[in-house]
Amino acid sequence: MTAVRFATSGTTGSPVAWLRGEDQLVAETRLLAGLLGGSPDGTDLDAICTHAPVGHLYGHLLGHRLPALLDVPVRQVPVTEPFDVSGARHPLLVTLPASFSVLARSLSTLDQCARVTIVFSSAAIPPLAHPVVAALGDRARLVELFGSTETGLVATRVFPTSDWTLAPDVRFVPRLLAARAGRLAIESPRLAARNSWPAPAEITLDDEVTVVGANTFRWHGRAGRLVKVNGRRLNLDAVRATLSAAAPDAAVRCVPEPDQVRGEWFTVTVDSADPATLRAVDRAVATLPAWQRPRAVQQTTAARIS
Amino acid sequence: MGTEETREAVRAALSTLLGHELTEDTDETPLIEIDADRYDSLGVLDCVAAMEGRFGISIDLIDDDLVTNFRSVSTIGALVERKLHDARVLGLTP
Repeated sequence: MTAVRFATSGTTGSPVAWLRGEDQLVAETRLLAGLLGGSPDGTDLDAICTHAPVGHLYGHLLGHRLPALLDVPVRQVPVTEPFDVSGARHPLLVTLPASFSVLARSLSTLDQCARVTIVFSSAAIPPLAHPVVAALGDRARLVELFGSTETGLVATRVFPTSDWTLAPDVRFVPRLLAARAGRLAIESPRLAARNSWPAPAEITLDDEVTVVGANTFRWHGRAGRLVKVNGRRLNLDAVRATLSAAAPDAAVRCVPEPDQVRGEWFTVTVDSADPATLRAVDRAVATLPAWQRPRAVQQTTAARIS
Repeated sequence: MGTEETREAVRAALSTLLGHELTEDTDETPLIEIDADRYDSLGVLDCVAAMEGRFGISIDLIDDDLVTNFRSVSTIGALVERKLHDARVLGLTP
């Protein structure tokens, strides 16, 4: 069976290759077609408009395989541009966190659409998403996908539902069902193989959940200090260690925060009144890969007062 | 607010966004040449939100092309000036 390779950045920047079998990709595309391909009133999708790069699993499935399966046109534009929905009555909008910043400022492009299905994956949904959906009213359906390159689709929810429902071929592992709460652990036939290793049958994720039904869970956050910056997982403890090494006498913190453009981001605070220390942290920030850099480096209030 | 004042305010807002001080000397320089890492596509959207927040204007991504209007301090300043002028004419000044 052929496999397709997808690379992720890894939580500290080291790339990881994930292999997904052709059968896994076909199965997942069919799941997505069932979830997104039609609407309750029978209005089928007539275009897929995407901001997601096709080199990533999510963009590959929704911007390449799903349009082929449904036989609908696909239109990809850069994330800074409004979706190209020309002529479509029921487009599927494949969004990234930044897409909602664009949608909020280009809603009139959707005036012609009788229905709009919006699909989002990869991170905490930006606060702007809900006013965008509200502005579209009954025409809009917002579907969120829970998953990653290594897991594929794990669960879904349709706004405004808060709990997640497992995909039909995914199950909780028995120990999580018994405990009712803890790290999300699942069995799935669509888990990726890492490099040349065989694909595992189950996986335990970084997400803390409560089981609320046989196939539903409530998400409480990520274990440890992981954030997803524009969908890329970043370990803030690793960032803090790098910056602290440059300023060993100061308390350096990485404070996560929601972001309208990236979904999540963080600010670095430095508890020091010494300008040389702040410059050292700035220099250390500049050595980080661009996507791992913080929104800002701030001196804490206590340090400013002293 | 006059043109020069507007441009100064744009420069200050962008200095905060990019994390380093911009001066008049670089007003015409494409921002991507000043800081390609920070002024990527997401940085441009950060800038749009920052200008809306700072000046109380609305950027319409259908009418206001980002590539040309959000190229430099100078082009952003000109866009903001046009928006403020239109708001004054329409009696929408905050």
